[in-house]
Amino acid sequence: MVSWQVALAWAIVTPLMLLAISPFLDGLARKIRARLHSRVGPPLTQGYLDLVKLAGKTDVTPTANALTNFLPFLALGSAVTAGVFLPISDFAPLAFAGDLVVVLYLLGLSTVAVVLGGAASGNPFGFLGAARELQLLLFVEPVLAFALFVLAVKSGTFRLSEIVVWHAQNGYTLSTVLAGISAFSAMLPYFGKLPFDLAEAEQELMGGVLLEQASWRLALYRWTFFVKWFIVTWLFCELFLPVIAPFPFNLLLLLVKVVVVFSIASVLETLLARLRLDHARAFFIHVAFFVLFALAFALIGA
Amino acid sequence: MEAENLMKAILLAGFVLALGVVVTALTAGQRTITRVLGTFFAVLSSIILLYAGIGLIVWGTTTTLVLTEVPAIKTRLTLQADMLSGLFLSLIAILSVPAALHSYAYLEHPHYRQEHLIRYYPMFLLFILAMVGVVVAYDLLTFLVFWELMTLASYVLVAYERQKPENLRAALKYFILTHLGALCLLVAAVILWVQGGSFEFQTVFATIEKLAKTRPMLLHGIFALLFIGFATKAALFPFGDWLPDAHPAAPSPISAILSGVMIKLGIYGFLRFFIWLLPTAAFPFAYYWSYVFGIFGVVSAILGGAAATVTYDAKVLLAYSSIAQSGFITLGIGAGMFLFKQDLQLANIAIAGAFFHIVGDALVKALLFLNAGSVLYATGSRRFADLGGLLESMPETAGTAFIGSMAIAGFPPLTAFVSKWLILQALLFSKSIPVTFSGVGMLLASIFSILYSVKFFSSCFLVKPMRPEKLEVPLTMRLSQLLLALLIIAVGLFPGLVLEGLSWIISDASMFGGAGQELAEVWQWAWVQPFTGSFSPLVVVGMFLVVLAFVAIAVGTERQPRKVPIWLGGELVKPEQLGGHPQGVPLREELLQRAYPRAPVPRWRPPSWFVKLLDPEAWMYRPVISGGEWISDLLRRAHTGVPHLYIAWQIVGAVIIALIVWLMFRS
Repeated sequence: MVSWQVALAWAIVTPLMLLAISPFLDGLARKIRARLHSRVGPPLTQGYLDLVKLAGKTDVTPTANALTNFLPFLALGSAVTAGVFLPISDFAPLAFAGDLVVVLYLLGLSTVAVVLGGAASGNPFGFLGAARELQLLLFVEPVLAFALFVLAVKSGTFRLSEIVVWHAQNGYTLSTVLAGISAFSAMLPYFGKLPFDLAEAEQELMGGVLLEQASWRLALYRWTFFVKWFIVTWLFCELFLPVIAPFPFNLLLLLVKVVVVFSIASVLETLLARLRLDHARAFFIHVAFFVLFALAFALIGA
Repeated sequence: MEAENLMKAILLAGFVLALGVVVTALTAGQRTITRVLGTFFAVLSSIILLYAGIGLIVWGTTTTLVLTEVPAIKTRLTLQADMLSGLFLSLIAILSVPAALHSYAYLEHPHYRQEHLIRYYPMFLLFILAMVGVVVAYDLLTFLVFWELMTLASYVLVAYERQKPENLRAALKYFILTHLGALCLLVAAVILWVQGGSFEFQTVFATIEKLAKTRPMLLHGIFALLFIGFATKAALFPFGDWLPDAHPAAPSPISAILSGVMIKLGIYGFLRFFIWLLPTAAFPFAYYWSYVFGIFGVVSAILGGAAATVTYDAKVLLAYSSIAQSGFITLGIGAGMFLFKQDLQLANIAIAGAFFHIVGDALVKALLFLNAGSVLYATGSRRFADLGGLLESMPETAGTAFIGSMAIAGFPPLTAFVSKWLILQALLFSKSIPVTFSGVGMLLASIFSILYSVKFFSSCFLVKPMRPEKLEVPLTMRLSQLLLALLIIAVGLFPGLVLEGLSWIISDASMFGGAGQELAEVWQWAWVQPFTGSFSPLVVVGMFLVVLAFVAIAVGTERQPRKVPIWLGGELVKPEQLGGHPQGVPLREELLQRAYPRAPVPRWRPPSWFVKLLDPEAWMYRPVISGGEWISDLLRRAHTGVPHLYIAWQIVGAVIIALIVWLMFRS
């Protein structure tokens, strides 16, 4: 067990670091896409510059009330809070026996806050995007959850840091590999990028849930997406690519893993076209059966 | 000393309620006086009941009162309140206050003004009295009498708005289906009486023990009858088919009580007969029946959640959600009954999750039904197509509905999160493949609950352009919602406190006896620790505040937003034409089918029998009705009005009876 001072320091430093690091991923993704398009592309700091620019704009909105002002904070707050419970290899000061479930629910809460923000704008395009996001959530969240359940069942605990330790010590098995593939495919919709950016879908819905958001609210929603990219990739990297290392190295290793996995996802984003909702649904129903087989394998010990 | 006082308190509350029934019935012509008196009696009895309920749990006492002895059936009619009764007494007390406050203004809506109050307040108080009677009854006869009284009173309340034929139909369906359930209970009670000789729960206990050793098949039969009887009240699929019809018909405060407490009394029946009254010899039976509990729980949770996600009516949505939550609770109980032999700690976690879900869901569902009632009061509709854009018109109702929706979706730090986590923990680590896969089903149902709660909130209050007019409901209605919302936040933030009390109740059951001591250190104040390690919702809230502080600094000071009309890409659309279709995709059937024709890929379609199975009204309710009509038609044909024929019937009957008597005493 870590002392409460460490836990407190972690609880204050981690949100700051998450908020500070995550916009870098946006610059990275745009750079990769530009290079694949044979363009020079924006600088790697473009995510930060966008946030600063957006926060300084005039707030132009059809609806401004307590809820629409609160929802961006809820979205960003729950995403960052989910990040605080994640482990860095086996180091997780705020870990407890059910942190896997809390992380899943906090990621869901973040999505739901964005959805409600889109619905609250009163714009039919925003509502369409919100409805799509919710329908996608129905198929994506179970897949990610089942993939994590495979590891939980194999290691006999819901505690993320113990799962990481178990996975690092016992290595891959059939069920964990299957679960890892499923978790990777479920990770892409969490990014809200192609091929699953159904909620924004700029070409069809003009931004969907984000259509009526402007100024600091748009900045906070964008920032929420950046943080969510980071922590979903973090979750995937720690659980399915586990390496146990002493302190400074595990942090560096985590950053390297996150950048690599996120780059792969960005390449996929550039290569693939947007799926229609029914195609996405069919895709995830198949992945769900896949991961349920993985769970069955895990239960019989494979 | 305390125990006697508590029984006196329960009797006093019953007396207050009975007095209230008489008084409100006498004054029913005067609307204002009746409303004040009805609310007064309900609140007064609730305070007394709350004292009794909390006292029973905290002091851990059992208090008994023998009403009278009926020598003919060798039964003493007994009232006994133990810790399990205490929990349900507290729930009844906590929920009847907001319901009474809400109905105070709700019944003055022009829509309801034409209905006479004699069919509301006396029945409302009688309903509460009957529920109190059900949880303190300690012999099958008293239990069944109060059970029927409860059904009867709630039937009148469901049919309150009797001008509409669909309400009468819904009430009749409720009446018939719950009576089928009650019939099963009655048959089970009679079998137990024949086998044991008495209706008292003590004798029932001994009878079950005897039957478990000698006639296991008969005991399984009894359990099946009891299960069907209680599952009808607990609204499990398919027995709970009355619920989605009855809720839209009933006035909203009544829906709150129906869904908050009354269907939980079906769960009370499960707990009382399958766990509390079970002797050690019958524990293997609990193990067998846990499969039934698990299957019905998972199926109800998934089907209820899916049905709630695709409905167009606020109260129907909440009714289906009640079925789903009932399924969660049943699943938790089933997991507890399955695991108690292998892993007592896990079993305790499962059953604690089920108990916590009873408390949390009672509060949340009552709140959401009151919200739906407020929306109905303000707009005159509960269909999602007519609602929307109410956030700025009724901010307090919307705020409480937001808390309720987030709570039922299971987001930390509110109530349903803890219970779902506990049940999931027990299911996943049970080391049994079917049980783990029921955890998979439960997770799917949880995602459905996120979906329909978001749908409920956004379809009622968001989605369309905000309405300019002020529609906020009167003070008493807002007060009742606020009360429940605060309770939800309190229970959500301090789950450990509630779970500690619940664990006392659980260790009172013989099946989980001694587990309370084993887990004594597990439930700590404001903390939950299923295996090791702890969780406090306060941590989540604290984290959230830290993030808020950082972000607020980053975003800077408040700026005045510039209001603009909704942007539609330059299309000229009138504001009233805006707003989403409740299904989510506007004009999906009409346009999208042609715009994007489906690719000719082979698709799996569920078999037709499965689709038919999903409509219990068609295969369960209508055969009952047509069967009843057939029988009454047969009886009618015998009564032709010709005296000769009657005499002939009498002779035939006498011959048959003589034959039976001769056969019986032949030897």
